[in-house]
Amino acid sequence: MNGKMHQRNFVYKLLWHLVHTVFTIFKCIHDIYLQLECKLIEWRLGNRCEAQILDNLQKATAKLKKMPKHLTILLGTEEPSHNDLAKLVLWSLTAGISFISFYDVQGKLKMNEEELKESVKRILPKTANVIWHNPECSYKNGFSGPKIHVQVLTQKDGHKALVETCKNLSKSNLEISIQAVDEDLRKQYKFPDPDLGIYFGDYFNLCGYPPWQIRLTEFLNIPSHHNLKDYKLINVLRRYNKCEQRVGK
Amino acid sequence: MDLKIIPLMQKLCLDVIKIGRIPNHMALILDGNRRFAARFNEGSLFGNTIGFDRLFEVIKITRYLGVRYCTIYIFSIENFKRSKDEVQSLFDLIEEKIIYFLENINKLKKMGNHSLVPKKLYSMMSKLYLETRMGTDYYLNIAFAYTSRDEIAYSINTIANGLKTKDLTELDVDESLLNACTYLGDLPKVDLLIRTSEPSWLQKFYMNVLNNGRIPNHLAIILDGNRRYATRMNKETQFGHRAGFDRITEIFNFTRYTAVRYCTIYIFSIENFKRSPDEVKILMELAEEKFDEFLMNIDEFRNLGICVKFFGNPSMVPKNLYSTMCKIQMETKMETKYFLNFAFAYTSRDEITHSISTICKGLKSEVITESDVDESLLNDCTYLGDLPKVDLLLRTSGVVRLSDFLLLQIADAQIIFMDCTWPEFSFLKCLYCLIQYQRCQHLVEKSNHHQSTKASMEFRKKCNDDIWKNIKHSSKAIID
Repeated sequence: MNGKMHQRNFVYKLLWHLVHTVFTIFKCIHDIYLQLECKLIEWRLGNRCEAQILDNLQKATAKLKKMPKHLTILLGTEEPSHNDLAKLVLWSLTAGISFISFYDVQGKLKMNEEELKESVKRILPKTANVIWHNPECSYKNGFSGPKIHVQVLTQKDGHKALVETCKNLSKSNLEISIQAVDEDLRKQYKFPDPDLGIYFGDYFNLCGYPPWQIRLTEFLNIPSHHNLKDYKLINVLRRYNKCEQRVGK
Repeated sequence: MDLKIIPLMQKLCLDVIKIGRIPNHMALILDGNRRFAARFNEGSLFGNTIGFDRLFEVIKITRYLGVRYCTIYIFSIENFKRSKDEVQSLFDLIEEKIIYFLENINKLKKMGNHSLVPKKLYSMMSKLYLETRMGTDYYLNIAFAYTSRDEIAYSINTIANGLKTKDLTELDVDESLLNACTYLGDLPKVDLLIRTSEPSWLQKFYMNVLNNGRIPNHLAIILDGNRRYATRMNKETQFGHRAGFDRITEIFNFTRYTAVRYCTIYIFSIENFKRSPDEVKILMELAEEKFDEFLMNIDEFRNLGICVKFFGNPSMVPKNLYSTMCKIQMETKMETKYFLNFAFAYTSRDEITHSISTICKGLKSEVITESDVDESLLNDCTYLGDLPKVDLLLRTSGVVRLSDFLLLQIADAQIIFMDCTWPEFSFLKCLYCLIQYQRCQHLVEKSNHHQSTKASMEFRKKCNDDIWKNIKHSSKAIID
């Protein structure tokens, strides 16, 4: 009887590997198809200089009815590429997004934040103002011209921030309501709640992103932020426009 | 003839058919027994006997397929016009078969005009009915001494009497009342959540294959798309919600046989109160109906070891409904095999606020110190404090947001968004999600962040005890 069971278990295991192999093959074919699609789009667009890209982006986003006020990027397990992230800041500024934050769960981006600042400074136009939010510098006011607020979040801004809020609220005599928690967290998070979140890779995992703020955030996928292309961002923004928020109704 | 054993080839064919829609209520008019007998040059008794055997086979097959109600036309009032001998031989045959039924079938009801049935037969039928009353797996209804006109006349008579004695008003009289006053008025019953039948051979096979990979321990589901499904089917929204509930049954029945131990489902959000008062009323009534059914069949939950929990803001739930929910929780409190949690009148922000509020009270009364306050304490003071972290979160209908659901608990979960609506979330789509989960889970586990160790166990225990005290108190306050 045992021998028969072993045989049966072996068959099940074999089938399991088979199913997953078939899925992997399909995924590969799908990925190749997506890459070909990208190559086709790029061939059609031809070689464009920076100015043309920005121009195209502005035109495309002007047609869209709603633009996220705060875009948050979940880097996940990808190795941060400063050039691409800087490009993302530039394009967000062009599209009219006021706040952009990067969630860096591995801590690599935070460690090299200065390098990122340099990359951003290099490619952004002189008229633009980038306001970095980190514990050292305080919020600056009184800028004219296009501006964008940037922030790098790490794990300690996640659940630990809620713990801090808890301790703060216990010391004050305020009644503990949703508004009270929200206000206290706002002091730590600083930015408004994200409207749009972009995650990279095959699967979606929050990795401990600050839980309170993401209750109504739309999460959309871009396969990778390496070699990021503007039309990918435009696609995501277009898809964001189609999302209908009913908030319970 | 055994009512349980089905040959393998038949099982295979039935498993294939099961993938599609199966009728909930099937009605049969058995006809042609005498013609069959004549073909073999035999008397009608031969034909009727074979007819009964064929009936048992059909019962067996339909039961396996998942048909729950089977109504069979055995003897019409018109059949009394046949020769006395034939009628008598039919009655003898039926008597013999009823004795067999008495040993085997789950539920049998007779419907028909009592006054026309010979007394002995009638008493046997009544006995059979009483013995099988509590069965709920499969309903076998036998029409004996029945015609539909007789039944309609009976129904109209009942209603007319009700109008005369002023128990009813003219406004109450509509199609559904006419239906409800027939012999088997309670027939169109809504399906119960738990089915005691095993998953099919094919489903078990798929599960055995999938069990070779990781299976989520805690599965959370945001049901979405009921109303869209209803509009697509050109029906009213209630139809969509009921279809959604049936889908919960199926998916839960399936996951019970995998290694999934916790299943948390988002039924009603605090934001949903913003809908039109009519719709909210319909939803509350549907919830009351379903939870009352749970309560009536609570033994089934206990037999399967299922612990049912409801969580959400208690002050927003209507009192009667809340008492029913608490009663269900109290009755299944000690079960530990599977945990089924329903989020009702819930939003995650409300839960987090409640958690912070509890901790602040604890800090003020100096039961805990500031150094005790950490992430795990925050987690433990939520409505369902002792719940493990979610491994897989599913959301149907193509919406890509979290809508305030379990925001604390999904920090390390894999989140999958499906494009189909919830009532269309079939068994195969569920398999697809599990395969996706298995493909990426090893990567997820690598990037998971770790929680600090637990301190102040007493405080956590006290919070838990307080919650149960409230539940116990509310469960006793059932208002009739």
